[in-house]
Amino acid sequence: MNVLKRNNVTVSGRPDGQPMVFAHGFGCDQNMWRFVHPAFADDHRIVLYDHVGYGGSDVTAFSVQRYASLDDYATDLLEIVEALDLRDVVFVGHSVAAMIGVLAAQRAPERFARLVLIGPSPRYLNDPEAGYVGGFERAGIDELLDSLESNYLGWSAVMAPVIMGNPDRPELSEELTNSFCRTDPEVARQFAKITFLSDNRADLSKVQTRSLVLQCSSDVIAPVSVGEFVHAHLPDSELVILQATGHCPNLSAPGETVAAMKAFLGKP
Amino acid sequence: MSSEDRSLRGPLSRTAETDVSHLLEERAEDLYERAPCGYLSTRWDGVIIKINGTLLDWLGYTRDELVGLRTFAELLNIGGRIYYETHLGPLLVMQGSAREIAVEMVRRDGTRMPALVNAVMITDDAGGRVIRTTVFDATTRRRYERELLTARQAAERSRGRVALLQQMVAELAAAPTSADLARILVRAARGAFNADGSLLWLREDSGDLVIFGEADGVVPEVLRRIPLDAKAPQADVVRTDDLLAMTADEAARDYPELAAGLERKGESFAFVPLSADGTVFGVLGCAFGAVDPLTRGDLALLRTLGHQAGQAVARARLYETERRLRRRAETLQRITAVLAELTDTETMIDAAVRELIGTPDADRVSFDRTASGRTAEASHPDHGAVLPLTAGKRHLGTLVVETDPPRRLDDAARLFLTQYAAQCAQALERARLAEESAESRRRRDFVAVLGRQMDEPSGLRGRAAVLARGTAPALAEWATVELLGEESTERVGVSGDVPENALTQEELATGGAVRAVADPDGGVTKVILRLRARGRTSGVLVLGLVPPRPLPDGWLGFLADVADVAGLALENGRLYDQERQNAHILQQGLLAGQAPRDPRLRVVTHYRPATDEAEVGGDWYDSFLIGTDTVAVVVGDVVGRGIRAASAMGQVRSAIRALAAAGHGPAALLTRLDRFVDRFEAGRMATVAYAELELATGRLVYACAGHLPPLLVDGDGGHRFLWGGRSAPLAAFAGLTDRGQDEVLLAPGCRLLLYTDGLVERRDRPLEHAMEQLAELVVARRRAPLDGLLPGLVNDLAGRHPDDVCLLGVAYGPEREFAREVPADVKQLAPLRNDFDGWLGGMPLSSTDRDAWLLVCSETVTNAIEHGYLGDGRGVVSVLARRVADALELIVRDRGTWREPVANPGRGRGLDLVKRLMDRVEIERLAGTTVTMSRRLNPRRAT
Repeated sequence: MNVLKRNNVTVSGRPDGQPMVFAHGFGCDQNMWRFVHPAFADDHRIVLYDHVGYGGSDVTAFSVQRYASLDDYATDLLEIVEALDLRDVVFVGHSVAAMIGVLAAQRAPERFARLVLIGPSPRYLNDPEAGYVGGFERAGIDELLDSLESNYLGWSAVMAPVIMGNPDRPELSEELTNSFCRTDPEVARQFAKITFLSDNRADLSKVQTRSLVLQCSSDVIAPVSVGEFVHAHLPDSELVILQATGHCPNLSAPGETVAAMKAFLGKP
Repeated sequence: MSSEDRSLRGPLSRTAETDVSHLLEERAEDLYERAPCGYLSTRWDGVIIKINGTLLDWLGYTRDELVGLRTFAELLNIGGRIYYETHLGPLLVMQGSAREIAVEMVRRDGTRMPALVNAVMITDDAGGRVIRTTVFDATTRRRYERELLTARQAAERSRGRVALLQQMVAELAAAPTSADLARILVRAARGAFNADGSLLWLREDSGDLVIFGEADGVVPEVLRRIPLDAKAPQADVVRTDDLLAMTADEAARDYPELAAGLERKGESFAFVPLSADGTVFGVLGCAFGAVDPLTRGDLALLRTLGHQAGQAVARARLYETERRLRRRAETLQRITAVLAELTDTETMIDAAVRELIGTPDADRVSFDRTASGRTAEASHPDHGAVLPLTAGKRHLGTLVVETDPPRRLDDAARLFLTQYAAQCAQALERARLAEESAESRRRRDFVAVLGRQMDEPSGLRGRAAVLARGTAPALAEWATVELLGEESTERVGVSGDVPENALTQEELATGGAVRAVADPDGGVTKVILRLRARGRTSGVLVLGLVPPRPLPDGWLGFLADVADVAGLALENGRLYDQERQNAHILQQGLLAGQAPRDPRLRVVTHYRPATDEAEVGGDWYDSFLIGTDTVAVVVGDVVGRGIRAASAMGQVRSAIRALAAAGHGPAALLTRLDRFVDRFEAGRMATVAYAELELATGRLVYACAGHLPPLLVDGDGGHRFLWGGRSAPLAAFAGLTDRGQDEVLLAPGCRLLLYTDGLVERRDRPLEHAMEQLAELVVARRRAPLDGLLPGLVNDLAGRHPDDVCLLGVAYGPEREFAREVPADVKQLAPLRNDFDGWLGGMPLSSTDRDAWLLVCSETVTNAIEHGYLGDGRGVVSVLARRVADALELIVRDRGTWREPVANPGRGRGLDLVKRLMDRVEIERLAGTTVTMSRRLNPRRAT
């Protein structure tokens, strides 16, 4: 199994620069970083990848058993880091990938220098007993799963193998709409379940890596209170509330996002 | 255009187009507002800035409620919002548009409107961005899609289930046991039908449904065993052989008894019969959550599952039955083989328990001894079996078989266990028979050995002692043998700890050859055996049992055999004692004659009976005067033992006396003796040494008929065996034997010794050596008193040799000096005194003087022994008596240290007595003590 092929890893930027690994969240693929990573390419070695089942990854590597928890996705991340022998890594994770980075840094702290967590949430469901507000009830998550089943974004069982196997042949994807977020519905459903039903609150305190929490000022998916919770429980972290709204500041406000990241990375 | 053509024209005909041309003039604003789809423009941050009337109508909002206030995402349901944030929004940014996104919009009244959304991002040169969205009401389409989706999901699920079912069928086919089966079924119910829980009931022989295999958590008791007539869905399923599906509400309504048990398990239930060929083997129960209600296809699949499982159960039952039968047959074979190797009852019982444990019908096996004697019938309680083990009539106990978990054994299992117990019982019976036969052999051997052992000692007492020792501890803790006398009993043999009241008079009086005396509890305390033979009861043997206990089987008969053998042996011993006593009396009579007394010689004799005292031998000695001047001495040996030999000896001895009187000399005497023996058949092959000594001259004429040669020792230590005058034993040949004789002249001081072969004949050394040793001993002790000489010789030469020995010693002529050396032992006094008396006989002394000298000798020698050596017997006392001129001198010398013994102070007075009797007494203490005494001879007083 070629890890780099499996996760459609693309490497660019300054070859001898400090590596920055970008992990996309639930929904689309590494294109999510298209407005962000060029800002770091001069100084850093840029590593982008797709979670298995997304973008240009090898969907045949997916199985419900292999990807049964966020820890399994963290394993992929660590395998990529190992495969490229990356050290002193700046990990940038969006949405659920932020938690994947948290888990990976916890398992191999020696590999990671900084974590940039964009819109992180350790727990999406409310937990009234613990006084925790994640933002969602179970019914909402079920509606999401319904939406996923109704929206085979750019997905076709006939075409999928062709597309997935040939990320470098854009003409194949031209016929399909919404190709940036194309996903096998089974993968999407599984990833959604893992994403929205996991509880990683207890993992936060185990992270030693210095972290930045980037929180949008109005985010349906990860409310500000959640960002504050993450910041409060990550031992060595700082919180930046962006002017940007929504869940994807990397897309909607890349400038502000990059500036906040650079400010964090620029600190000694 | 034909009318037919016109008739085909519809609403889209050119005519209509022409008629509504004015409508095309409508304003763009109106087109926007009343378009057949929803229009919506939002700012980059999602806030609605423009919305058309169509969409407002659909949603039930007024423009004022939305524009500038709400975002598009807020019009979606929660799932839609997430989807918007994670998919739609990013797509717009990344590719500028998104198409055919299915969302659910929420109307003002809360109802949902499925919609399809297209969105495009419009960017102006200044970087401003607006999103335009069109919304299509997709209610119908979405319903259709939903149906398609549901159908597809169902198909996929069904495909998955069929695959799982196929896999399960394959697994069922390979499942050998009901337990495997249960596991597969429960897994299939969960995997293929998303059951939250499942339980399996299998029917027992009784027909009841019993829960089988693994279950999640605690199963309520009411569900563990369900009788077929119970008001329960499981029982109904068995009766109808059809699947039963119901909701929790229906279950509560129709089966209230089970409702409590079912309630917590799910929202709906299905009970599937496991049946094959019309037989229902069991029921699979599944509980489902609310999410995935069962479809008709699911139910059909469940039925199929039930049929497949039913067949598998039938197969497994067959297989299990077959396997169980095989296991049982093997177990029976094995226990038979195992027990055949064993002989000991305990080991066999252990094996019977061991081999049964872990067989399909016995999870726990134990052996209960306490049940012995109570139950002889196999019984089968609910959880196993109780199997009696018997050997012969003896009930050893019961094999207790338990099942775990407790279950009732079926008929086949009971049959097997009964057979097993029967096998064990048979083996135990075989072992018992073998043991019995071995025991009876042991008893026979015991009786035979006891008889032989009792025969070894010849006398009654010896045999009684052997009887006691031979029966305790071998048979009992103690044993005593009581001989019956005229008026009382005499205890002659004991072994073990014999109590005071071993035999009461009452017990002695009560009859019966063997009588067991029991204590009140029935335990035998002792057994009294009357020892009888030839109509005579010689005694009783009492065997004591401590602690009291029942006699082993067959013991009374066995003890009767012991009594018979012992009785006979004792009676024979008694007869033997009697005969020997007779022989002794006879022999003593024959040997008791007085030796002739004459001052010119001394004759001493010694008889040492055979060591075991069992037999009287035929040895004899004799000495008598022939006329006044000749003394005849005889030593002979008649062949044989016992009273016959003793009487033959008596006859030969008398014959010799009679024949000697004729005065024909030894050779002629033997010739005549041959005739006597030949005629009377008494003493044939007897050997005789016969000699006649003329006292005046010292001439000795002798002859030996097959006897060892006499030994002659002179006063200076010279010695010779008299080998002359030899001929064959008496009447050894049919014809008459030519008898010869020889003679020798004895000097005064000579000693002659006649003896029987018991003195010198040994298996372990040549005769010549023994005779040489004899000669050396006699020479060495030529100064010892004659009286003590003979027993010493027997001790030193014959020792513990069992034969009897006869010795006859002759001292000839007056010795000039009486020189003796005796051990410092008071026992030597008597022989010394006799010897001295003989010597004094040759002196001219009155009897008073002679007594005085004897007294003086005794006193001084006693003093030497007691003071010089403290009587320890290890020193030597020298006695020298001689005639010095007209006086007699006696010198007694010891080499000890003179001490005054405290023990007997009166003894010292002896010296005063000696001084009064003697003319002169000198005591010299130098390296011992020498007492020299003398007294004048008084011829006047001599007679």
